[in-house]
Amino acid sequence: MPKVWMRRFALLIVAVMALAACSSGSDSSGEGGGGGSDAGDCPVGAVDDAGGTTEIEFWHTMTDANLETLEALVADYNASQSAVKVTAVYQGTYAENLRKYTTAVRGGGDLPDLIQLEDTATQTMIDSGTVVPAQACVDAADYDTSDYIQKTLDFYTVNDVLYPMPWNVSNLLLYYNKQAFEAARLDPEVAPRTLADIREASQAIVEADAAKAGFALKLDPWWLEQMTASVGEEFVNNENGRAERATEATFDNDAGLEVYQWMQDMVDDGLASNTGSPEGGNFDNLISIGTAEAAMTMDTSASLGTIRDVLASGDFPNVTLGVGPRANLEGEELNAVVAGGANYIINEGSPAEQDAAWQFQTWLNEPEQQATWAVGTGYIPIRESSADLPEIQELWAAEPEFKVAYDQLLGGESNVATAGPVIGPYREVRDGIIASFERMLGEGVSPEDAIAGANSEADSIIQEYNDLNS
Amino acid sequence: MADTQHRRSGSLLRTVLLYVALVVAAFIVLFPIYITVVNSLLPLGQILGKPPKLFPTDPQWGNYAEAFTNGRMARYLVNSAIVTTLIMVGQVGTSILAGYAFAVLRFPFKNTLFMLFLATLMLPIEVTLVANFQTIQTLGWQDTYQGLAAPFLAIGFGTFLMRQAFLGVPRDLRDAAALDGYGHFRFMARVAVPLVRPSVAALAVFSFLLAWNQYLWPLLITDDADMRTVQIGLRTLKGEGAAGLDVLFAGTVIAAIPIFVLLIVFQKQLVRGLTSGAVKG
Repeated sequence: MPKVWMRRFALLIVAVMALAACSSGSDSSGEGGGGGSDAGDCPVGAVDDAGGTTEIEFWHTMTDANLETLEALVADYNASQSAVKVTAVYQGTYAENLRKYTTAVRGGGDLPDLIQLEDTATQTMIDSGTVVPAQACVDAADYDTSDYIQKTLDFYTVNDVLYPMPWNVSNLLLYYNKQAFEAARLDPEVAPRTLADIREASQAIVEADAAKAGFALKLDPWWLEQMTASVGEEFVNNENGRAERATEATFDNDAGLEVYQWMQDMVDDGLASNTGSPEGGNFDNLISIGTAEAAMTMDTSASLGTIRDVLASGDFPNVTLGVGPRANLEGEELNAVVAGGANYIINEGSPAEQDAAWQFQTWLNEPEQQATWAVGTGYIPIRESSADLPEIQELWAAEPEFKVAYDQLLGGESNVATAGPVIGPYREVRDGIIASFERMLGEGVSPEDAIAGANSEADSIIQEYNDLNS
Repeated sequence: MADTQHRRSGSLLRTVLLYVALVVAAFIVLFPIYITVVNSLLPLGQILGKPPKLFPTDPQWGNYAEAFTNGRMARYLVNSAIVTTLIMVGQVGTSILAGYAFAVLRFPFKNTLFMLFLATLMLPIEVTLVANFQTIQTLGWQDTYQGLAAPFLAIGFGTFLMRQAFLGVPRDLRDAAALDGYGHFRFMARVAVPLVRPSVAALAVFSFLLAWNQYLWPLLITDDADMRTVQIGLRTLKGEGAAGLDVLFAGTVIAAIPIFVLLIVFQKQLVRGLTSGAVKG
């Protein structure tokens, strides 16, 4: 009797699973390719034609001080005119916002008119088939984008079509403790520029006992992406997934191996402390600067405001903040890749709603609003003329640290490598790279095997995504 | 004489050891709660410092005020309370009815149906997410309390728990009650449920925790800020990196208070529920 019971039970489970699999796998819709070359239509002027007030919903991920700045901007916009009324709705983290969006697309739910998503979502959004490419509106409205930092547009342009409008932009910076540099007889006003510089400074810091380790190493794939792009290496094939959908990863190259090798040597020689992966918003690398466990690290420019506030509280008297451009490979120019979030106009709404979304997000990106946004949040202003406004000039004069990320993004080359990769399963590829870092630093896998393993795992993740979506 | 003294000191030693073990266990359980409360009263710089502060020298009560307003706690706590009550009452009610049926009644396909109920235990929320979303969408229940509660009104685990509990009620009682003219419903309400009260209490607490801590479903099914629950409010308190951690700790304490109250209220029932099996043998 128990045996029969067990068998029946097992059968039932299998049947239920099969049913579930069928129902979830059947509706993978979407348009193919890395995007058609035709940008489609954008109903510019539809708000005026409709008359009255057009109400739109904006799904975003901003919290804390960023949320307050956004709510103030939205209130200003709504008060400044009566044709468009925006309701901003917080929808969790970037991942949760995207998940809510895809669930609503599949489940026939209400979609927003404008949605903010992170840099990794581009291909997924193109494949959803629900986006009005910003390019269509730029063309229809004859909108001038020459004042934008070119790289912010490059990042979101696939097959010559600009999909979302960039909005909240950040970049990777080097943070270091000037007091530890002094204690190690290093010049506190000169930030290390290359991985070799960091290694050299770390040796001096460890020898002088200015901190337990020189460098706090966060196992962040983003660093790998930035440094390999900087030397002109594409991360995935087909022009970084921009000419056609990417089918293979290509980061197993000399530059990539140099980064892996450097990481392992730094940890093996006791010069770097491994502070773990970025999962769950981990910022132990930054904390270890405050607690003298390390003297340098790299992290997003978006954390600068918080770091400044925490240091100003006086609880870390042994830290004086130094900020430099992110480190680079030896002998190469620094060419940055954009990171952060962008706003997509959604095609499900009426023409007036689509036009209203376009109007609101161009308003958000006007130099004045970008300046207010940058000062309130620590994001990089994406308009060159924002940089000339008094708000930004005052901030930079008082705290030049905030200018470093802007200069980094403005300078350097713009090419297909520095445009950054477009990958459907971007997050999964990153997870695979984190796992390979952990294998190398925790299980003694060689840098060569670690990067080769991550590259081939990325290949199969990309393959799987493409099978489902093309 | 010497022997009894020896024995007495032996039992004293055992008591002391037992208490030491209990104190250590209590410390391990209480420390995370304690440190959360401490952190909620520290400025951000001190939360991040090392060694960690174990006592707030300059309590920042402002963290609580900020959490309350920025996290819209007043409105969100009310929403969470309403939704949690709906879910708890629903789960306990349906589980008692279904558990009783599976334990006492005779009907065709009883075992197969029970297995089907158990199978739902194996399904993670992700599997049913889109289907549930579609159903609620079709009913037009987005941004409503019924939309937040409906998918969770029945639960396989509760049915299983109550069935096991009702199986422990002696068959003789049912026969005796039948002689007194009790139908199933009256027997269940007047005799069986009072006998399994500890299990009901355990299920109620379980349901409460499950419903109170929900995050994904409320986020999916609401867009209106006035319909959101306390866990979503908490999420908005934390910014980039460490930003807002101090206020988040304060908000977490506020959101956890109802759980503490619930545990204290149900404590007696729960302890009986956990030990009742041991006594019955």
